[in-house]
Amino acid sequence: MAIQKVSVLSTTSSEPSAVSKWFSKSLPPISALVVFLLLWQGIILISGLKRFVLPSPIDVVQSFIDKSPELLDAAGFTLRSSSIAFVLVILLGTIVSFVLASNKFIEKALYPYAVMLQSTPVIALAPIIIIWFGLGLGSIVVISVIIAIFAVVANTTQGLISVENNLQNLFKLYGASSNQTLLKLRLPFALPYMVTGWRIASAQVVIGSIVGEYMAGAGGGGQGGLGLVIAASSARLQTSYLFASALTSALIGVGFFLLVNFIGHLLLRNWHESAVQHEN
Amino acid sequence: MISADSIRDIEPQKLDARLLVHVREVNKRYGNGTLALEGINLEVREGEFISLVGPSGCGKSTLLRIIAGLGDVSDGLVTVNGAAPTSVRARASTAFVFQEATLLPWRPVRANVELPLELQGVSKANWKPVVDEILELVGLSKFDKAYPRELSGGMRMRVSIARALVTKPKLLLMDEPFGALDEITRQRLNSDLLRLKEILGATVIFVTHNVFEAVFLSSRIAIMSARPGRFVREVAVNAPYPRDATFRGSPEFGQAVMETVQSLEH
Ligand SMILES: Nc1ncnc2c1ncn2[C@@H]1O[C@H](COP(=O)(O)OP(=O)(O)OP(=O)(O)O)[C@@H](O)[C@H]1O
Ligand SMILES: [Mg+2]
Repeated sequence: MAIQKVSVLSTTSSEPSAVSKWFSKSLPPISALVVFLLLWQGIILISGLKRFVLPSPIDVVQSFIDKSPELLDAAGFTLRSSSIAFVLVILLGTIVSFVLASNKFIEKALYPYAVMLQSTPVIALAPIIIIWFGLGLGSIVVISVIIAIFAVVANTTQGLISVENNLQNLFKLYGASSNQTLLKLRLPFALPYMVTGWRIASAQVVIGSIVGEYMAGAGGGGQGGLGLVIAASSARLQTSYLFASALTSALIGVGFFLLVNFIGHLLLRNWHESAVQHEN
Repeated sequence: MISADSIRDIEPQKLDARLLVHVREVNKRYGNGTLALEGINLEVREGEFISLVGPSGCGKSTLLRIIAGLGDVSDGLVTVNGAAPTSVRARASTAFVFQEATLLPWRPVRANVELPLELQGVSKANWKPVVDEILELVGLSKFDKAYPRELSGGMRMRVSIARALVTKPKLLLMDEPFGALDEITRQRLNSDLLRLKEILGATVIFVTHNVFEAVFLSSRIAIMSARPGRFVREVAVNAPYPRDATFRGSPEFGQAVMETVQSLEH
């Protein structure tokens, strides 16, 4: 009898249903969140900290509800500037990478300047950008692109120059044109590297947009986004509103990241180690 | 009546079999000053199977790459099928198999084998019968939709060989293609390679470190000295094709192995 019982138990546990799989995957982060929120609320109750120093989770939720029209508006704008910046970052970044990788001389000549641009603090460039593009969407997108483009350029270039030598020889032996080599060898070879660049950039364009809005947002024209909401609420010590808007921008960032992850998975799932389901 | 097969059998022995590869007084010095090849002369006639054997770094790969038109000579002259190795004429008749399978990981087996046809601009309608035939010959018909990462090392090498043979090349250049495989797989692929060579009537230049492999496969073995690479000796393997596993136990086999090993010790 005992033996039978054991075998029944083991078959049920060796084939977990989709629900229980999801549950076992989501349980740890959800319980961590719950513990975190309880601690947070507890600390405020015990210490009696002022609301403008540290609002409680309940205050933040309250603020979400009270300010939802403004937050939605701002989030919509931030989403728009991030999306425009993201598309530009991928297009420009890929083109720049192909130029850099096309020729050792060009790479050596230009790469130091790309690194320099990356290392210049945006705050030093912002005034010039605002003079050129004015307050609002234009400058915000430019700032976001400057912040995020390096990740795409660095990774894509790395992929394009890493193509295995004998694969290139193979294409040479069959008299492949440079177009064929580009489309059938270098581009697919670089794809996993490119996806890595997109992933990093997806988080950076959201950060970039918010920094851009903070420095170049135009509140009057509805072109302020979450960055301006953050600036304004911190100036007025509306700390729970500040928390709510920071949280909203985090959600946008996560959304972007998940989307890019999904696209990357679709592109690589059949062949690349990073996306393959391993059966050992 | 003489069948086509029997003509092919006697061709290597015929003195006037067409000269396919001609290497004359070739020196190769790399940019950093390394003299990799010195005074190399080699004539390969249609239907021959030649192995290049020698210590590591003696220039075997260098020579093969020169014949493939992937590197140039410092002095001397090389012709393949009567033309310069980089010419369209030579390229169209040559195929190369690298030490690693060098497959495109994003393409399934069939698309990997199609690659040469695609790059050479063969019209798409003609791919299927040719690719089907070659996949059948290397025993991979059932795996045409598999991705390279789903295959064993030996199977990947079969795909690589299929890809090389899909254009029906006159000349097949192979640089230690089975070096990374276990002995059993290596012997199976050796037999398969000889069978494919007979069916397709190709000429092979084969680089290996393995004396047994060289003897089993070759009609001639060219032995090279350490740097700078020179031909020090040539061993003829006097056994007719087709050869099967029993050849490994024959006196001719032992004789050729002995001669080769002795030449290598010099
Ligand atoms: N691109 C290169 N630049 C400079 N020297 C090279 C280059 N390729 C090869 N060599 C040198 O030329 C010599 C011959 O190299 P090669 O690769 O042809 O030897 P090999 O006989 O194929 O050796 P192995 O059996 O180890 O494959 C070596 O000394 C090597 O260091
Ligand atoms: Mg070599």
